[in-house]
This record gives sequence, structure tokens and C-alpha cells, in this order.
Amino acid sequence: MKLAVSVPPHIKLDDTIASINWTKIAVLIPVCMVSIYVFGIDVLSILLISVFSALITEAAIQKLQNQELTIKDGDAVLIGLILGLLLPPTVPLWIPVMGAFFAVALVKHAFGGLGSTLFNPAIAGLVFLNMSWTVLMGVDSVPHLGQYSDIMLELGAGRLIEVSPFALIGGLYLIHKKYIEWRIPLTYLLTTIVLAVLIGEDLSYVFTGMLMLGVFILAADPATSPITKNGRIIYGIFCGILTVLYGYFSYNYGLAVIFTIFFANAVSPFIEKNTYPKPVDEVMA
Amino acid sequence: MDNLFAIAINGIFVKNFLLVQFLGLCSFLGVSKETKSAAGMSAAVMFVMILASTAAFLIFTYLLQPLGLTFLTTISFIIIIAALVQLVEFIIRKHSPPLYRSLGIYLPLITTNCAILGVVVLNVRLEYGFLQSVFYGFTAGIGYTMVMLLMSAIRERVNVLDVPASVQGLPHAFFITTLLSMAFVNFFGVIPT
Repeated sequence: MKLAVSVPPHIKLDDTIASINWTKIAVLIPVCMVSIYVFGIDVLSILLISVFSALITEAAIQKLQNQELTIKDGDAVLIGLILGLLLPPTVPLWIPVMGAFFAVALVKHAFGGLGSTLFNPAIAGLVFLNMSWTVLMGVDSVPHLGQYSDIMLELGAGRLIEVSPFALIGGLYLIHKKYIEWRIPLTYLLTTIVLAVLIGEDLSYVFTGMLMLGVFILAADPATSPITKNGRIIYGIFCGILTVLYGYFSYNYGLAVIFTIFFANAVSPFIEKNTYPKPVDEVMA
Repeated sequence: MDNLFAIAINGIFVKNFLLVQFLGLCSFLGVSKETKSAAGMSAAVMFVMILASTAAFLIFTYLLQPLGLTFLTTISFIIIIAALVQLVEFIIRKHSPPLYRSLGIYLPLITTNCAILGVVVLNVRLEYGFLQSVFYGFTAGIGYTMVMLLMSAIRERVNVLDVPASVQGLPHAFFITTLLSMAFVNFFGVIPT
């Protein structure tokens, strides 16, 4: 047997940042295909422009700062893809360029790059676009799952991501591979549904593709959610409460998920700080 | 708009003094580097806010209004706040010297903290009664405290990150504040008041 002396960590897995990010992208691919089918081939240009602007911004920033180019790790692609999926299909093509620039330059790299982001870049990009060009970002319709086939194919979708909640089922694979932890998705989904039922909300408005994206990809993003186990449970419940609160007042459960996770990201360091495990026999200062 | 619950929601979330009305940003950016001083500052601000709205209401209603001296409102409010800040300074210096040192220049600066003047002026402008005025001061203080705690937790985390040299320090705090404000305005903008 051949033994090698090496520096720690000694656990060897094939999981890298790149493999995690590309798996997440693969999970989103079915939804992209369905939305191209529903909205037409123009949607493909929105997605591609969004992805390429994110990549170019990242490459330019890393070149300017003399850093190693990390566009192959898929993080910029993921940001661009999520941002593109959150847009309505009617936007002019310069909108994803602005959004991807804001997301990658000011929310990802100004905060220290990969793994240091305080807010989810794609969400921040969408909120920025929403505040700056409200009219252009308006959606034509709000998804409503009137019948069971709408879970597969929702023709009343207002945003690309909302076309098919079922197409995001690949999120379960992420949990299976432990690329995201089960605590946040489970508590978020359960809290949202239980609260919505309790206040008598129509579940067919609550359960959209946006919620699935929020549960599986956005809320459970490891950089922007708490690292402690209890903190994650609190975070998930917090997200659920806020989503129902916003949806109750606005009747828009899609935007509710976006604004909720944006706000919850801001609270996440506070939750994390207050749920650190206490040392045993701590000496009181 | 008159019941206390609406005032609380307004003061804490929807019209948060720091992130929605942008009042009192100087102490917000100055003292939010660590949680301990942020909490101390918040307590001091909340205390001054409550006392200031009480005293300002009494003086405005029973002195300035009957005598027709409402043109002195701003000046008299500033004097009230300055006197109260002196009081708080005495108390903190006596009871908690470490907190006094960590607050530093920002403690006397509460005198010119626009959030406090904002509370008392808004009380007059919105024609709140006595209980409403005091309660609005209290909720504004709660909102201030909440944002200070969130911000200090964020900044303690950001301290250990590899932020580009060009935006380190105060510029970065403005980046965070911008995004926090976007989160607040968008989320709580939906609550009808």
C-alpha cells in the first residue's frame, strides 16, 4: 500500500466549488428549457446576455485587480443565470446587462468575491433593476396553479422561473449530495405552507416556481445564510414568516420570496452571531 | 394612523429613521463597528428620544403654543435635546466608564443627532397627543436599535473578509447601508399604514 505524507485536510472528495456551482446550474437548465418553450426563443437571448455580462464583468474586475481568473468555477454563470430567470420575458436586452453588472461588481466583488457575499448577488441585481426601471420590470401576469397540470407547465407565468415548479425538482438532488443543507429548505417550505394555510391563503398562489427557486437555491446559498445549525432553522422559519407577511399584503408571492430573502440575508449575520454554540464551563468575563 | 400599533409599525419598520428616512446616519456609521458600543449607543439614543419627546411635547403644548411662540420651536427643541444629552453623558460616565470611552465623540454628538430632532419635530408636525408622542419616540428608538444591531453584526462579519483595498473601511459601510436600505424600503414598503 502506498502512503503519502501531505498537509491537511486529509478528507478527499470530488466535490469542489466548481462542481457544486455547475450542479446548481444543471438543476436550473430544465426550467430554462421550459421557459424557452413557453415564451419563445427570445428568452434564450435574455439568459445568454445575462450570463455573458456576468462573466465579462467578473473577468474585467479580476483582470483589473491582478487576481487569478475564476470564471470557470461557475459562480458568475450561476449569478447571471438566476438573474436572467428572475426577469420577466418582456424586458429590453440591456436590462440583464445592467443587472448582471450591478450583481457581480457591486454585490459580489465589492464584498470580497466568492463566499464572502453578504447579499445574494442575483437577488440584489433584481431588486436594483426593480427600483430603477419599475415600468420596464413590470410583469404581465401572476402565476396561479388552478389545476394539477400547472405544476408541470404554468402558462400564466410572469417571470421566466415561474413556468414550472416541477422543473426545479432537481433541488432535491442538491440536498441528497449535501451541496445544500436540508434545514433551511425544509423549515422555509414548511413554515410558508403552514402559515399560508393558517391565514386562509389560496395555496395555488403561494406555491410557485419562485418559491421553489427560493427554497432550493437562493435561501440555502451557503455564503449568505447562517453557518450554525440552530441558526439555519431560525433562518428558515424567519424566511417563511416574512414571505407570508409580504405576500399577504401584496398578493404577490413571487416578489415576496425575492424581498424576503434579500431582507433575511441582512439579518443572517445577526442570527449567526447569536446562535454560536456556547463553550462548556465558560468563564464569565 | 392614530392608534398605537400603527405608530409602532411606522416607527420601527416602514419609516425607519436610519434606513428609510436617512436620519442619524453619522452615529450609525461611526459606532456600528462592534456590537457592544452599538448597543450602548442605541440605549442612549432611545433614552434621549423618549425623554426628548416627553419634554418637547410638554414645552410645545403648555409654553410655546399658548404664548404664540411657535417660531421658537426648533431652537427650544435643540436646547431640550442638548440638556438631555448632557444628563445621559453624566450617567454613562459615572456608571460605565468603558462604554463612555468606546462611544467617544459620538456621545456628545447625540446632541446634533438629526434622528432625535426628527422625532420631536415629526411629533409636532403629525399633531400627536402626549401618549402618542412618547410612544413614537420609543418605537423610533426601537427601530434605531434594531438597525444598529443588524449593522454591527454585519460589520463584525465583514471585518474578516478580503474586501478590495479601494472600498475598505467607511466606503464599505456605505455599500452595506445602501443594500440594507434597499432591503428595508422594498420589504416594508408593502405594509399599508
